[in-house]
Amino acid sequence: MTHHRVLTKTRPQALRPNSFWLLGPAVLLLIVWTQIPFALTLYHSFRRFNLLNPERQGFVGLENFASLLTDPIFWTAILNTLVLVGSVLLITVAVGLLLAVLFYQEFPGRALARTLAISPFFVMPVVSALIWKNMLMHPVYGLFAWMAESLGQRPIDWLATYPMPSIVMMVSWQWIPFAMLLILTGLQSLSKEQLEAAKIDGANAWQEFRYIVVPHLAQTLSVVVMLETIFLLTIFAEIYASTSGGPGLATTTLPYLIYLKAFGEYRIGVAAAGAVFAVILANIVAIFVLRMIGRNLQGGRT
Amino acid sequence: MIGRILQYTVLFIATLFFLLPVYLVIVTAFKEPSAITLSSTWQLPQVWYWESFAQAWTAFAPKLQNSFFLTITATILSALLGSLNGYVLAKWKFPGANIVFPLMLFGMFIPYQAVLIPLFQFVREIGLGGSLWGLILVHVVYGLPITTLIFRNYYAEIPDEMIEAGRIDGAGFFGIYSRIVFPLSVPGFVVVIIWQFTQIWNEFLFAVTLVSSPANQPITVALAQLAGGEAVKWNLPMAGALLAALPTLLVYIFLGRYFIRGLLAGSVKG
Repeated sequence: MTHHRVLTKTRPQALRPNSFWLLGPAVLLLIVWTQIPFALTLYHSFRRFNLLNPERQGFVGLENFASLLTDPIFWTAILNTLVLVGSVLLITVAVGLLLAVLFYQEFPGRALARTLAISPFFVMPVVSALIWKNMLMHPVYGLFAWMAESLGQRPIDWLATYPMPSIVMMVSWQWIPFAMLLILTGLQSLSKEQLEAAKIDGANAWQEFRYIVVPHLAQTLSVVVMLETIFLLTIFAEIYASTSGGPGLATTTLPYLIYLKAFGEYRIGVAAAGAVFAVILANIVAIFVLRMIGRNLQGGRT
Repeated sequence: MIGRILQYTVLFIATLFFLLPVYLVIVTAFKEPSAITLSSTWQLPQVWYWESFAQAWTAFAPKLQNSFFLTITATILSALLGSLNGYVLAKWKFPGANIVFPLMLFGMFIPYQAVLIPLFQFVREIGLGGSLWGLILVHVVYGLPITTLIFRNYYAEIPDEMIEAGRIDGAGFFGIYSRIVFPLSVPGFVVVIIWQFTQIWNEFLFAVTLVSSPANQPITVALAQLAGGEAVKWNLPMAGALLAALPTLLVYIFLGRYFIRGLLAGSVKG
């Protein structure tokens, strides 16, 4: 018996629960803390809690979830969220990849150019939204309007005419540097010998890129996509400061809808139910996107 | 050759467009208020005007101080607690750990605004309403899922044999942590500290709801309020935005390399 135990002892900590429980309580308390955000949300999602009517509180079962699922705005918000996240992911990864390949080459002034390229990352999201809204896209005071007029065109009210593309552009602009930086670091771990070998075998630039660079980056890209997905799914300040979800519902995403329920209608229960859906959506998107990357990129490996 | 030139021209124009917003922030910050007109928005200032920075400094220095206090305290606390949590989850597999971990990950995906009002009430009930400590508490609680995740994945790479060796030498839970795990954690701390610092420094919604008195406002809230109007003189908010960007910029300049490497080394895999 003792002999057997020694042989199977590959994960010692699993056999030592006793010592854990001795010092457990303090540590366990810490772990409990990590559960607060989700537990609090889950708790409120099953309760009625309306600030305008605080007396009528209590457990309401699935009512909050039903109220959202039957609300057509909810489905619009889900669709908008997916459009926003999907477009921004595509744009940031594509442009980030392009920029990373560019900065992978040696050229004079590369360090300075690279620093400039990541500068959008240091502009606070709220400030960035205000700049785009008031200094660039504004139909009267914006630079785009001025450019259009100088060229004899009629200025476009970007946020009113093309609300979602405008938001996608704003958000992509902020996240391209992040994608670029991660991809560039991934590229730098690529062995030059492998590229040389491919060149000797007669691969052209595209084949080199498709069959060596992209598969090499598969893991980097999944990290980029996962981190960006976490953030993009909860994007709020940009929409709040620029379009406030409008015009109509054109840019009302799930996080913004949750905000409307909580701060516009004071229906905390419904807002919390929305947040539970946001978690479910995040998991679906994460699994879907990572699978897709795994299949397409690793498939290119020969 | 011509193809090359064309390629570079296209890239150059694309880069200019990409940098336009940052360029606007910088040139506007250096213009005299009277020199900010629509037709010259994109031009370099004719006279470089530093006064806006002095004004922005006087206006924003207390808010920057609030932001520093808030960000540094919350970052350190969430990093230390996350490191302990990661250690427990990676090396002291207790019953139920397999349930606790995925539930914790859900915490990362929750849009803050959903439970902000109950949170606000709770913070007020425990006597921290309107103060920076309430905000710090909330940032620590909401930061723990991601910091724990990063440290757990980082510590999973530490060989179990090292922990076991420490145990044989008679070290307990905290002994192993402080003598074996913590000294190995520097790269993990770099990733977590940069991550949390940027997040908390830039965060807007918690700050605007939880801190009521202007004296305690962090810089994000003050900037958004100042730049909220349409026809404001932009030199001041832009100078403020530049001041506010400096800390994150410095953090990245000094630690950015390790940050990106740490992220890619798998410290954030699910």
